[in-house]
Amino acid sequence: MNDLLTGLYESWFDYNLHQGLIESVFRANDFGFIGWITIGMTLVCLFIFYKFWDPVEGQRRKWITILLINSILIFGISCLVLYNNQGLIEAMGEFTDGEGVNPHYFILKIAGITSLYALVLALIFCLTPLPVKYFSNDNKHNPF
Amino acid sequence: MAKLYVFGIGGTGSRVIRSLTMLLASGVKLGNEFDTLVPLIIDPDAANGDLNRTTDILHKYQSIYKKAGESNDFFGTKISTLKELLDENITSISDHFIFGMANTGQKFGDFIDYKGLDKQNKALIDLLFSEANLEADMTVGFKGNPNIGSIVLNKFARSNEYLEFSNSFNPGDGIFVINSIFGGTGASGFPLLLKNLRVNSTDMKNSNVISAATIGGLTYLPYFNISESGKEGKEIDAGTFLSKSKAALSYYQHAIFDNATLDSFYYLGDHSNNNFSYAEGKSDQKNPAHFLEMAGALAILDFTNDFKNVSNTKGKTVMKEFGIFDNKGSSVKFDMLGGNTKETIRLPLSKMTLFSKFLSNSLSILMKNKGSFSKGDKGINEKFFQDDFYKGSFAKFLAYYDEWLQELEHNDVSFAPFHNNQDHATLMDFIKGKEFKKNFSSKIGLSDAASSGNHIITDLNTIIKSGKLDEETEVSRFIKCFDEVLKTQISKILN
Repeated sequence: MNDLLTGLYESWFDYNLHQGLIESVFRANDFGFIGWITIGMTLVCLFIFYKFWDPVEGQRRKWITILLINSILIFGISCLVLYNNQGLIEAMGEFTDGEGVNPHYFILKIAGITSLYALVLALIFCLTPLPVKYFSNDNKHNPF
Repeated sequence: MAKLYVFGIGGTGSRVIRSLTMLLASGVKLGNEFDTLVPLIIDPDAANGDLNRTTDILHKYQSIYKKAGESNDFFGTKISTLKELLDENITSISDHFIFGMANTGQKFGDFIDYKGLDKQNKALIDLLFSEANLEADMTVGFKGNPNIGSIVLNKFARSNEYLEFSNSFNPGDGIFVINSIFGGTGASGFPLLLKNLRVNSTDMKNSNVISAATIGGLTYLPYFNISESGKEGKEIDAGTFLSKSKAALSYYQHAIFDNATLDSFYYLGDHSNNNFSYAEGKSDQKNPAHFLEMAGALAILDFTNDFKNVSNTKGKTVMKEFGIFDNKGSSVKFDMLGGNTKETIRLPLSKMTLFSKFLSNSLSILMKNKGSFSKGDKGINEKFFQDDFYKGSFAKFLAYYDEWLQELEHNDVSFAPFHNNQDHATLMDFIKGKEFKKNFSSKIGLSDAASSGNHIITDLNTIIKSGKLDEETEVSRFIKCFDEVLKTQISKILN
């Protein structure tokens, strides 16, 4: 999982400039960890939406709301995970101004990319009745 | 299974059949083994507004019943014309619930060929009928003159409809006759019809069965006034209603009750202050629905429920009256009705009313909903609500139902058990005295209020999702789905 997801993040960065930071995240298995969190969190949010909230009115608006909430939560969790990565913190300390890399921006960007992937993942989960729409009564065809 | 033939005589007969149709549509059932209603309206005034509205309602009901199928609560009782009971290819009888009245489109004097009578017979006729009677145009009925009606209506046993009625009658079928005693057509038609029904004629098929059949009657004593009646040029005088009623009842006593030619007899009347606009007939005679007409429809249901008892006590007429708790001048609500009446109509009328209110206030929300009902393959899609069934029959019937309910409310006595100002959010608060209180979570927007129409949408989606109506046609699915959902929701409201 970690190997698989690393590729999905690497392409967003100039590898030569960010090699140290990326490798710190990779070595701590944080790409994999964030990936599992993203899948789990997205499933939980969608399950809450389809099974428990299951609104009758304003369904599209509320579905978008739950996706945004999910992305924001995942953004926060990603930041939390990365700021607790000791190796990454040390690697960040090795960067000095003028090297063209802002390590805090790196963390925010990783979190942002994860949020985006969470949105895409939520859309994929909503394409078919399983795994979440099956549990819904009033939103079985939301959004498709 | 048995049929109930209901003869509605005159404008009152039409209006009671209208109320009965509304009750049957909402899910009230005929008692015992009666599964088919055959309404037959006897009215010489073919253009009568009450008559035409009632026949249109009956046709709408039929077209819904035929597509919705049996075993529903809504529209669950079969209503049939004589033609449908017999060979549909018979062209001599009409397919519109109206009992054919020949030669009534002329003056009474022409009808009896007054000018062709000899001197002695003319003298006799002059003794019995005034000049105004002889000049009376019967196109619009008998305008409060039962002496004319008793002559003209005596012929209806020779009509094609009567023959077909006789042909279709089976042992176990019942007959019920509705009339008003203070007018013209009803007052004269009832004893004549009864007389003809009780004659065992060898040249008429099933006459022996009909003459021995159990027959119920409902007679209306005065229950409304007519504005401007009795003035110059106005032939109908409401001031004579009571004296006519007394005279007719006196006649009924010795001609009907003493001979027990009627098995069950229901009286209805009221000292109300409602004034209907003056109308001698035609489309002008379209009186608003009255609570007593619904009570009349309940009398028919009572007759079917009591049918076996009444059939077993031949030889005397069972007399029945109807009453409500003192409404002290206020509008009548369910709690003012007697126990049986309340049990009979509260759930069905509430269901039908909620059905109508839901379709008026919440259909657009239902159509936008992304649940199985609106968006599923086996649900009801938006096109359904544009089709002939919905627009041509169902929506029009519901409009008639709403009109009927509004008229009941605005009449005196006023029957007003429902609120009128619902929207989707307060839909379930429509029964007076049964409003919901908002709980905390709905106040802060965390859940739907108990009064919200969203609960109906959720239940509709649940039923369609379960797949139990997958094999039904779309129309049947629509009716059955709402039948079940509204029954559940109304039960929650009432309990």
